[in-house]
Amino acid sequence: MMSYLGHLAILIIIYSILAVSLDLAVGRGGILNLGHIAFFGIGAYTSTLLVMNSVPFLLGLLGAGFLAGITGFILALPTARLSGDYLAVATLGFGFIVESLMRNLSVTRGALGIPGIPKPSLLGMEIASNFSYLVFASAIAGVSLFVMHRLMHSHYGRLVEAIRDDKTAAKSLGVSTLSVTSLTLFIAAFFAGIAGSLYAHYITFIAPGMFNLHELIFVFSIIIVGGLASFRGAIVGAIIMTLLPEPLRFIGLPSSIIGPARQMLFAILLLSIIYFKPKGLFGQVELE
Amino acid sequence: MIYGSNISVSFGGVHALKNCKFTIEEDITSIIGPNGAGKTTLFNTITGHVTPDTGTIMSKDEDITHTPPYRIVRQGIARTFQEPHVFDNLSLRENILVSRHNTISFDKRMKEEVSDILHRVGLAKPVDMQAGELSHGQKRLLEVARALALDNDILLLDEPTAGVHPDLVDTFKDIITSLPDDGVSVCLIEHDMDFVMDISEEILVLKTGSVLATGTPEEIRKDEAVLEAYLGP
Repeated sequence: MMSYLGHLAILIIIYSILAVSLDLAVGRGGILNLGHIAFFGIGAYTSTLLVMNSVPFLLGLLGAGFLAGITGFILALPTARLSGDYLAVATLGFGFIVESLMRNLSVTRGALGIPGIPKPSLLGMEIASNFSYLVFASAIAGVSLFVMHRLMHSHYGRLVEAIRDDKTAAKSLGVSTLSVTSLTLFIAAFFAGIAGSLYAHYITFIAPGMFNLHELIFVFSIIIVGGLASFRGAIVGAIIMTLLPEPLRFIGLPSSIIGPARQMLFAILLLSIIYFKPKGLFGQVELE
Repeated sequence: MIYGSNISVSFGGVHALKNCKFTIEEDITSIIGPNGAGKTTLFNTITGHVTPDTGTIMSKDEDITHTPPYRIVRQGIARTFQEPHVFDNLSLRENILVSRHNTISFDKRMKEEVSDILHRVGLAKPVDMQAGELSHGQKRLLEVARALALDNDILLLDEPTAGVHPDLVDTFKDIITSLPDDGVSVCLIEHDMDFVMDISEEILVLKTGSVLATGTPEEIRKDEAVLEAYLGP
């Protein structure tokens, strides 16, 4: 039972980092980035490939963040002039491209995925048990969330929110919107990459299907339930979305029913949130 | 001083500005003209929000024709918009601080400066209030406060009194007429002729994308072409 609870706690921690990083772009920055899950995947694959090629785990973790971050920065350049639906479609396309690369490159082993990913090892000690991984992931999450929180409450964070509210006005006050937006996507993608690394080394198996539209909808649901532009919202959303379907395991439903029942639960939750609390539980802004 | 020569801007088949030549050099200059004359397009072109098809715009002897908006601001030109553009989800203080994004220090002095700037435009509201909660006229005041926080020496105001409560019109008049004493030149677009005639040192009249007349309020009041095209008998 403790192992099961530890498993849920680890997932909540990983999804918290991922959701807060997504909220940084979508909620704080107003950048409707539907390619965010690709950064999660890039982080997972980068860390896996580095560590499986004898790179120390911490370097693999940072490499995952940086490669995802640089990809986010590059994505910002051609999409800087886009907004709303156009930006959403462009970034969704980016997500499909990345998934397609994962599915077709030999280094990623295509649709077969990569099994046997080693657990992290620090100072010669393997972080193998759920409890030790929970402590380790909590520490990484603590640092990640602290950094993102500080950034968003800094002067830079104010510029990010100003651009979200009114890009034209921000430009008229001397703000280089391209620089700020590119940096925002770098930071958001960096931490999505970190979450991806934690995920890969916890699950010990990755495949392209784990970083597709289905997973993106799950992460978006977290920030919609929790509310946009809210750290607390993203974390509470991650807790709710991770725990919500768990009782289904214990009520004896046939396995063929559990999957659809999960989706129905998510749908009911989302519809209720949209109807009763359009800004989400702790949201500061509405998604336009 | 801002100087423009041979400025043409077209949107599809519509010629918003046609070979427009202008000079803005007085402390308070007003741009007037009928709707569709190209007044806002002229502001947008000066501030880099619209790129002209032809022509050159100079400010302080530098060519700013193809300069992006955020760099125009660094040339000392600030502006407000026809519809107030404030950051609705940020507080009044945060709105002002966006203007100070190049300043490293955010100490107590900066907080005092924010209060001073808001006080200067007569916006007596709590600094932590969200800008989205302000009335239309108060948003216009906040826009002006934000522009003043840039410490620039040229301020372009696009219809500052449009849609504001009549009591606020005098507030705007006081603010605008006090700015030259602080070394800030003002150029405004305005339809309230009493307001324009009262405060302007020079008036530019635009008609169908070209400058129809330039002169002091007295000269403009007597200009036959202006009377026929805009002011009426």
